Amino acid sequence: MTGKRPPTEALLQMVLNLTRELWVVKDRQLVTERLLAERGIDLSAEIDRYRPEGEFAQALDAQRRQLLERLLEPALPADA
Amino acid sequence: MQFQLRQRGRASMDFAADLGGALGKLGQAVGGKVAELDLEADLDRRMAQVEAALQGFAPRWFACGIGDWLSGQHGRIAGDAFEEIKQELAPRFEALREGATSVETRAGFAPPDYWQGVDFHCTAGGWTRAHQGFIHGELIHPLYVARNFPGQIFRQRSEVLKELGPRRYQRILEMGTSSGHYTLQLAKAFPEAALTGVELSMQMLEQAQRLGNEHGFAWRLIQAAAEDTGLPDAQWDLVTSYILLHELPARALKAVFAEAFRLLEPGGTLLMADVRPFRDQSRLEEWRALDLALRGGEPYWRESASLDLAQVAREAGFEEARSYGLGEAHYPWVTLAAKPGRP
Repeated sequence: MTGKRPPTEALLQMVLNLTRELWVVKDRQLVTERLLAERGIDLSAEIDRYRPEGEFAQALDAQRRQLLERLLEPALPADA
Repeated sequence: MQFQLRQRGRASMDFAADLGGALGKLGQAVGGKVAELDLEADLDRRMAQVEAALQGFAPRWFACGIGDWLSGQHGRIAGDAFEEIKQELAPRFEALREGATSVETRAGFAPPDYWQGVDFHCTAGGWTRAHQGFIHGELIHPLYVARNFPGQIFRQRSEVLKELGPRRYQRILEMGTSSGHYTLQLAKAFPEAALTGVELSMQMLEQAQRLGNEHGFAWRLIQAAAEDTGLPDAQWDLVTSYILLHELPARALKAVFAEAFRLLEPGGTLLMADVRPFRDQSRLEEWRALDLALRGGEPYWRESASLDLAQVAREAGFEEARSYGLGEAHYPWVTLAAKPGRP
């Protein structure tokens, strides 16, 4: 983005990027829980208490940072 | 203390911490723009000059907006994360009230006017929200602040003690104990010493007491102002603080040094570790520090960072006063001085 573009335009892009990501995740979670429930497995309490460790914790960190990087991309100068 | 956040609290804390980290690129873009300016020498004129130059610059707009969101939300996110595990922590909190570390309130204690009602760091509830000691000491500090703070935020608290040299201190007074992170490093470095801590917030002291009892220490913790402890003269051989001074207006900061002088025995040592003063910074660094302070709930940063702390120590009666920064980042900024006389 150049300094001349109104910040609100970039903000709208960020909100839409974020909403899309949020829906992808929410859809996937609902599908997962539904499939598990159909097989008689209720994981909600276990998920609540789950502590990510090792490689999985690192993968979560990396994906969260990538999400934020993409979210903020429109706010940066074009040459950043 | 071992505990496990729920998924919502854990993921929210992770998000806030990494959003803070993601501000880095925006900050670089803003810094690059400011570096193009011929910055004014006068700080007030420079603040206005930079603000005018950044008008309409999108990275600045986003950095401020996101920074403000984080300032306003980090305490709430941490508070919500705590609420999810509050019930299971309650018995452990109760158990950790038992032990050799005690908490008391100074007779006639009244919070000073510069502190009452101020939400330092914009943290929701200030220092007096119920359970703020745990929320700040165990959640905000390690899971939010430490993840983006330059250097090792906890190791810095032990590294600074190496500046004291080989002397084995026996009676240590800590000013601004907070939730006990520095207290713990003092206790580990001087396990034979009697350790007293003063702090304005009882909620922070409650957590410090848990920390002391959990590690088997016998700290005496007192709710009192560092500049008016009510403690007897000349009873301590070390008076110290870590990251307290920049939370004080200049008049209170000078009163803290005077109180430390009164409390130390002849030959006693003063060690204060705090933020880097303006006089050690470039014009751009100085602007950035003050800009962040003003936006981040640090109402007295400018006053304290403008002082020469070695000179403040001399004016309080100390000798051999010197101030310097540690490491390449000159952080923390250390002030060391001695009370005249022989130990």
